[in-house]
Amino acid sequence: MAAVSEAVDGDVEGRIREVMAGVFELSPAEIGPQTSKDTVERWDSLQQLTLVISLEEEFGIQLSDEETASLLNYPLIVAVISDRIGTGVQ
Amino acid sequence: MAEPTGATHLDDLAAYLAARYPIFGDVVDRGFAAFGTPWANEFEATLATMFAKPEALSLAASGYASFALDLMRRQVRFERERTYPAKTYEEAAREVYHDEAYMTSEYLPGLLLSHYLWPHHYRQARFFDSAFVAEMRVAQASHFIEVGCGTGFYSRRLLQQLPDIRGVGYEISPASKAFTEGQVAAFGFADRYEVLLQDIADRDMASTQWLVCVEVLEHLEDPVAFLRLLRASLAPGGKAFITAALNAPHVDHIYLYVQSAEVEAQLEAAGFTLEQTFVGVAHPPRAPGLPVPLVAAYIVA
Ligand SMILES: C[S@@+](CC[C@H](N)C(=O)[O-])C[C@H]1O[C@@H](n2cnc3c(N)ncnc32)[C@H](O)[C@@H]1O
Repeated sequence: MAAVSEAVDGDVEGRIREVMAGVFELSPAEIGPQTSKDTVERWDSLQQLTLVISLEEEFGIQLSDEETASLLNYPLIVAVISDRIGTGVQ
Repeated sequence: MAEPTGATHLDDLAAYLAARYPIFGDVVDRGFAAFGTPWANEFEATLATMFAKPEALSLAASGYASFALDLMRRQVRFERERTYPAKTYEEAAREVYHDEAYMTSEYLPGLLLSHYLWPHHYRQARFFDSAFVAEMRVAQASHFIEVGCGTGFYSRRLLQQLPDIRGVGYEISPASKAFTEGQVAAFGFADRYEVLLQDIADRDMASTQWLVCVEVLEHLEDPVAFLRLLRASLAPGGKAFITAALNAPHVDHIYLYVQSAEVEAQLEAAGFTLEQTFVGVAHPPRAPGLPVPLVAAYIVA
């Protein structure tokens, strides 16, 4: 079972990396725990909205205003999206 | 939700935003860096007067954040599509001006705070003070009208700076009327001002020497027809302060102005003579060729 849920988690992270790579014009491999608004030059506040809209479309979810204004780094994005679509680590 | 009680309301506003909406965590610092102590004092007085209690200030902070985030979402789409989504005036009125809960919790506090937190908004207010209010003072103006007073920010500024002036606001939104009345009363000017719930297209408004109309044109299907009504109410020798928002896809903006020359042409078509102009940008273009929100303000005779 652990292997299955890892595969699902990995897939979610892969999709998030793809979305972020598209929004910030990076390669998915460049995106990891260190990726945040402070380390990515193109990550200004309007680009944050582009990112949120793209994540909402990719995962078929709606993020709240507080989430929209808070998801400013990769680990937090992974945690919130995983939690939302039900693949969060139990 | 309320908690922080730092030294000032401004500190608390910054703390509420930083805690719940980190993307806006630095807006107060940036305002101070750009405009300094006069800005901070004026903003503090507004917050302390209108949102004295922590709960009220905390709600205003959330209202501002939701208002700004909604606009930013629309801005992303606007950068791509370059048009405002089709909407009639009736639809905007129903969805926005007559939605009391939305107006009161989000739109009006959001707009009020934006007059301080958005550099182009604050610069426009300073232009109003230095170019329009100053002339009213010299002319010993005794009366003004504001059409579409919204939050009441501009009417209150006039009442504050000209201690003998009396004014009337025209509004179609009951929530805007109540918010403006609340602001004017909180500052102690209720005996010099009243708000009439009336669409000037339906019934003639009074005549005045001094007219103010801030960010209403882009809410209309036919701004020139509206401007002609404003022109007709201006007494001989009178002056008006009229502004428009450009490239700003707010939920209730239905008439898209791309360049300030379009506003100027409409003012002239309605019979006004241009005297002074202010154009302010919200921020530099994010990439070459992308549209940038602007405000354009005019003093016209
Ligand atoms: C963006 S707000 C104006 C901003 C306002 N001057 C301020 O600084 O807070 C637009 C306002 O125009 C009002 N409005 C829209 N159409 C109107 C009309 N035909 N006559 C009067 N007010 C109108 C709306 O109800 C709304 O309160």
